[in-house]
Amino acid sequence: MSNDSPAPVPLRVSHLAKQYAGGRGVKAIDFTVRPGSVTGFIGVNGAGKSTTLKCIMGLTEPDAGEIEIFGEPATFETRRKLGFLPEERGLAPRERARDAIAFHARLKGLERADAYARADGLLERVGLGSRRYARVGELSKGNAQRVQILCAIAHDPRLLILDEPFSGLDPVAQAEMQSLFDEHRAHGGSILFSTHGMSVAERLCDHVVIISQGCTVFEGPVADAAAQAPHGAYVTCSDDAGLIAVASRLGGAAEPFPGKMGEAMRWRVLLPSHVPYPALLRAMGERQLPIQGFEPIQADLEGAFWSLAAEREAA
Amino acid sequence: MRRVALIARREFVAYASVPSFWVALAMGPLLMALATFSLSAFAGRPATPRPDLVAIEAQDPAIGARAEAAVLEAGRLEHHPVQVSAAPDPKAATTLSVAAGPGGVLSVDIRGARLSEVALALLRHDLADTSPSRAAEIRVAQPPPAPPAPKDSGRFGRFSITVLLWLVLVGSLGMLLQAVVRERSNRALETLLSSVRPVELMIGKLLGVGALSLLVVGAWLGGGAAMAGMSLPGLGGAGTVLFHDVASFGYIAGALGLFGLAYAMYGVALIGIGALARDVPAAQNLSRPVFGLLLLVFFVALAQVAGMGEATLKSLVLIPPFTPFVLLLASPGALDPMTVGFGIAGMAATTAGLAWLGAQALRGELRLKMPRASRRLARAA
Repeated sequence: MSNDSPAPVPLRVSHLAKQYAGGRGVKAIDFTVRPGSVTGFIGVNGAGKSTTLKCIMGLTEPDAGEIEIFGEPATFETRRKLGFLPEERGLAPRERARDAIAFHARLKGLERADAYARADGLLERVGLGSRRYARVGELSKGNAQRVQILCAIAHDPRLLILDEPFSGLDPVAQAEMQSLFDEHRAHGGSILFSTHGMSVAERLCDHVVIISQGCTVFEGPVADAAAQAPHGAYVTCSDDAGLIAVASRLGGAAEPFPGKMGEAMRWRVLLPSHVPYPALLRAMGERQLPIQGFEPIQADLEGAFWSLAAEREAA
Repeated sequence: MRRVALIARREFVAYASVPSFWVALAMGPLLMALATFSLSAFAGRPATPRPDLVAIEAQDPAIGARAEAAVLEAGRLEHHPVQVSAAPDPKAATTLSVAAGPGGVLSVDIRGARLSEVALALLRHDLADTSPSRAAEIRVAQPPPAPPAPKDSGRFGRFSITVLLWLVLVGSLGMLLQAVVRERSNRALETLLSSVRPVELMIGKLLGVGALSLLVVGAWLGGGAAMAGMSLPGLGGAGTVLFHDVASFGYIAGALGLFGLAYAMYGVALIGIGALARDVPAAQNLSRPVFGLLLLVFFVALAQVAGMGEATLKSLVLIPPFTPFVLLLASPGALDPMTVGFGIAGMAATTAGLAWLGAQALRGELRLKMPRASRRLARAA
């Protein structure tokens, strides 16, 4: 008998739909969280990130679609393998830090002694060991957030789902959060977190799911997403016709882009993925176009996001 | 079950860890003790009852004087002052006519209020010497005893227990509402609901606050029982008489059962309202009709204790919000078992329906939308 069977997929969401009155919600969400991965769930405010996560956690009933958790249909019992940090988060201010963490661990099935041992260990790990008996209301905002996150991971979940985990955190707390991510991953756990901060996603994730207007528009490695981004350059040039002709000859396109008052016309020149931006510079030089400014557009996640969102809108 | 117990314990500790809860808990028995001692102090004072006026009609002044002396002496012996009028008096409570009949029989005819046995014995004894025949035959006629007025001696006791449970219920519902709104305003509701089912959260909160309510009921009932059992000077066991009908294990157990049903029914409604409300002011506004209904129930209880509308109460037992209180107040045997069964079944069905709605509200599937006109009004304000 072999033990090499592949690890079950922590989360698979297929054709998920949930509509609220007024048209908000999600229409067609499909994605997979791979074992041991950090997956960023990206979308603008109102795109349907929180609705999707609530459906996964069973906090709201989807209208259609399937959710599988570690290869099994999502039920209350299978969801016990998940840790969840909601967007709207808080704790009872009168509760003591270790009591709050142990309470959440016990709700997920840990015995009393184990739950308190785990709470003490976690508090120690984030530097709050000396404040374990402090009431949550007495802690600073950052420390209260830390306790909240510890509540989500208190039962050692195999998949951690975090809704906007970095909002309201200072850089130190963000770095600590990142170290918790790393530690969770090192123990074989997976993470799915929603964000609208592209730089955070680019830094932390190895996979991203981009949603726009309630639909998945991209799912895959961050590098693949970035490759979808348009590239080229912002060019300030007084010879409009010449610039349009050069861009066209290279297979790209030039469009006016708002610039500063009193400046010459600023253009955004988008190039095909196989044409590097120095080729544009060279072609402009050959035509002796007057170049007053040149700023390359890097192919990054943010660019990919806007491009994919625009494509979705056009469709 | 384990999760329900954890939620219930957390809720219990959240309130029980606040010193003011214990102060409030002690207030009930303290107030009862204060009331008992005040009653005792007032009851111990010498009473000055109004004297009864007895008119004596006698042809023979000597006989009249004897009768007067006998009546006055009876009053002294019985510590009940009596005034005597030797002439007919329309204000007299009792009119006593003494006349010598044929054969030397002395007859005493009493009209109006009856005389006591002591007064009659003295009359017979004192008038015996004055009989013309010396035969010592005295015939006394006085009005037959009035049929006992129908009296529901347990009404006061039942009313007291109902008011006590009503007070505890209103307090508990306030705590329950706060318990849900607190989670909402602390933004802890979603975190909790990711670990427990809405119905588990609901039952846990009901049980946690319910345990606190039982503590309050226990303290208050204990205080009441102590008062009822006290024989303080001057009170003469008045408590024992007033609470005679309700001072039984059966009644108390039934009352607690009805309290539990009422608490569950109103409780799930309040949890649903708490889940619908976004903040404390919204919760207060939304819960007002429920507390208004409870106030109406209180007035119905008052009407019952005043002896009014027994027939109305019998129809109210089938309306779930009123059922527990009507059952608590109704005199024994006033309602047939089938009506009681229907009433309780109606309450159980209402509780189940409200629990379902409450669970939907907790999950955010049930939302309140302000009517357009109200939104405009709010903006204008």
